[in-house]
This record gives sequence, C-alpha cells and structure tokens, in this order.
Amino acid sequence: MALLTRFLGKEGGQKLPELASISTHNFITSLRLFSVTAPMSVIKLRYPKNYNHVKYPERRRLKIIDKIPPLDSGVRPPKMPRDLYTMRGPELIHNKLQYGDYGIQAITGGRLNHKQTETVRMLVVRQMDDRRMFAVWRFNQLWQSVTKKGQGRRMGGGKGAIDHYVFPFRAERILLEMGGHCEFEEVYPLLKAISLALPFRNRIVTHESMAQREAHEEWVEANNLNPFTFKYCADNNILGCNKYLGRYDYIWYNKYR
Amino acid sequence: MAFIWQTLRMFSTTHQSMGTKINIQKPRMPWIERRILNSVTEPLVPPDLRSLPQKCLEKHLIKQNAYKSELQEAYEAFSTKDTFEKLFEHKIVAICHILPMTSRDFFQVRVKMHNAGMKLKFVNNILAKAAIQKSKLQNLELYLTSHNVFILCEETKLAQLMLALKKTPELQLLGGLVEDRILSRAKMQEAAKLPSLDVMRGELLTILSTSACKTSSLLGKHQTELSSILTQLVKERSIC
Repeated sequence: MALLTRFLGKEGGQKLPELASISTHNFITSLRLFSVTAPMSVIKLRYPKNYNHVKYPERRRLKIIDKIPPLDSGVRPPKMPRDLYTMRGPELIHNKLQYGDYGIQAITGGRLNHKQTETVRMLVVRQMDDRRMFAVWRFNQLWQSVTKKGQGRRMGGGKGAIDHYVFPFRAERILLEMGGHCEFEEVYPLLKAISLALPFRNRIVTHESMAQREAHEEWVEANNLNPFTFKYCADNNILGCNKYLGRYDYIWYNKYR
Repeated sequence: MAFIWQTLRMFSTTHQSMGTKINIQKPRMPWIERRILNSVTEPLVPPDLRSLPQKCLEKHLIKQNAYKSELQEAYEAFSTKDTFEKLFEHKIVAICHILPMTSRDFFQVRVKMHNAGMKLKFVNNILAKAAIQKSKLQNLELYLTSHNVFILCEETKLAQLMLALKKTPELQLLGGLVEDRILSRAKMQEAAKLPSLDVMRGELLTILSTSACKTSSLLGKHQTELSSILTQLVKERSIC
C-alpha cells in the first residue's frame, strides 16, 4: 500500500518529460522512412535552441583524476581515519548545476575511487563530441587515503599501509556536469551509461528535472494525508521510537542516513 | 518537554558521542520495529480518482504533444506549395497505381521510364491532396489514393509514355494532367493515338479549304456547265 501510494498522485506517471518523444520517435521514423499512404507529420520541427548561455571551460574533455593526489614534497603521505561522517547526510553546497545543463547527482552518499573515475572518463572520451559539448568533474582529487592490512594478517602492529585513494561525497552531490551546444536527447545515452557504471544510486539531472523534483516534494508535503509523518512520530515518541532513534533522525527525519 | 530531551540528547556528554557506526555504502535492512516506523510514516498522497480512460488519455496527450511542433503549420504550408510547383511545372503529369515489387524490379521500371524520357516521383497522398486543394486541379484528387507514383515529363511525349507503360505491367495508369487538361486513362490513350500537331494542322487546313475549294472549282468551270448548274439550283430552290 505504502509503495503504491508513492506512485499515485499528480506527477506519478511522468519520469523524465524531456524524453517523452525519444522512446517511440526513433522507432517510428525507422519503420516509415517514406510512405505515400502514411500521415504527413512524423518529424518534430523546432526553432533552433538558444545557446547564448553556454560558456565552454578551458578543457572540454573530462580531466584525468590522478590515482594519487598531489602531495607536499618531503612529507610522508598521511594516513587518514575512515571519517564516515563525510558520506553522511545531505550535500548543502555542491548540489546544484553550475557549469553545464546536464549532470549526474548522487542519491546516497558514497565514495569514488580511481577505477570508477577512469571508467566514466573513457565513456565520455568515446561518446562525447568535443567540438560542441564539454564535460566537467565537480571535484578535483581523490584526497582521502584508505589503508589496508595485508591479507591474512593478524590484528595489531599499527595501522595498515595506504592502499588507494577515494573521494567521499554526501547524498545529493553533483559529481559530473555536461553542457554545450547539445540537447538533452543527445547527451542522455552517455549519461545513462555513466549512471549504470557507477556503484552507488544516482540520477541524471537537468535544471528542469531538479525544479520538478522540488515542486513534487513540496506538493507531497502539502497534500500528505498521513498525519503520522516521521517528524511527528519522532517528536512525540510514537511507538516508543525514541528508544532506537539516533541524533540524526531528529535532524534529517529519515530522509538521509 | 520533548524538545528539551532532544537537545540534551544531541549535546549530551554522557551519551555515546560517536553514535553507532553508520553503513552508508552497503546499508543493511533495519530491524523490524524501525521498518514498521518507516512504513507507517510513508507519505499518503490523495489517490487518483479519475476513470481509467481519463488517466490513459493524459499519458496519450503527453506523447502526442511531444510530437507536435510550433513550426508544423509553416512547414506544411511550405511543403504543399513546394510540391505543387515542382509537380505541375511539367507538361505531362501521369498518375499510376504501382504494384508491389522488389527494389531490383523497380530499378528496371525506372530505367525503362528514363529511356522513354520520363521521371518517376513519389509524393505523399495527403500532401498532394492538400497541394491541389484550392486550385483548378482539384479533380485530380480521385487518383490520389493508395500506392501511386507520379510520372513526369517536361515535353508532351504522350505516345512514348503509353508505349513505355504498355511494357511495364507493374504500373497501372489511372489518369493525369496533360498540358493543363485533366484526362482519364481512356482519354489519354485516345490522345496518344492522335497524329502529331503539324499533321493535325494540315488536316484542319484541308477541311477548311475543301468547301471553298469546291465553290471556286465550280465557278471556274466552262460557261455551259456553269449555266446548267445554276438552272438546276433554281429548279431545286423553286421545288423547296
């Protein structure tokens, strides 16, 4: 019931309205290349889009993220604690599109390592046309070192050696942006491939989709028929939940972990 | 009271300061009580009480509008004008029903037509009908059905066209436009059988001149013969 009701309502059916024509359009045009008897209007004609807002960065191709970040010379690379709090909660600053029109946003917090950044970079290099598109990382380096003890070693003997570097991020962080003289339909296949390649839950965003998501959330909050919101339950100890709720449940109210 | 407890809890020094270790990357299923709380606090949105046809219509309209464009009318106006101009600048525009055939066979047909000096053109029926709508060629609409092809020629080579069509059973002539006249299949065949324009002009001249010729020859005959002819004419006139 709960799952069903989530999808009912005003904007339940629409996922990405920008792509309403893409799924059937290409199939139809491939079937009816020319027909004397078919109806005329199969092509969608549009006025040329205005790209005055596009500002290309210095480098259009995706930058190579170094495996090991630039370290101070003469200093031993620092071993860092796990700092899992850096993945926890919402991203408050880097959660909007700045450089391009389309991007990849993380739904949950997580970590990016060098292998994943390379996969994404190869996808972009192969599929992106850098004469009229650009792609930009929204972070600089994999700054956090992750240590590992050798396999089969016993506990003790100090902290392990640095194994690799990662970039931790919070939920709703924008990780990658794309833009240029291109439309969403051109960029979508590439972004979809990147989205599938990444190990954490993520979504493809545009300015419109983010605005729509915000509007939908506000509408759900305004039209919620359930009086038992998480906030109400937490504040009033419904079902004795205060026993097992943590401090962050009173801040984020079950929206983020 | 609850608010005070919460703030104390958050900033408490006796309570575990680190909290439980959170598992962000591989979250485990929460235990039953927490799961119950999560499901109870799910937002309950007002259900969609519209009938199923209405809901389906909304989705259908979204898809339909995705195909529509702001330039559609302008494009249609341009394309109708363009087809009209390009088609009817030719002297002969014959419309044939085209039977299904392989592309190899069609190539052979095209070659035959080319050798006869004809061009083949496919035009969308709806577009062609729209093009001839408000013009004198409105009656060509009869031929613009099903699978058809336009045979175009810049010179009036009707006999050659008929000969070529005789050799191609895949093209069935319906009718067409010949020098600003709409002709049916039978009329076109008749017109093809006619001799050339010069021959026809000669014939017309002979027809026109035969009556004048006769009277001039009669008047030019010998006097005796002329008088006998005139007396005969008077007799006939008096009887009538």
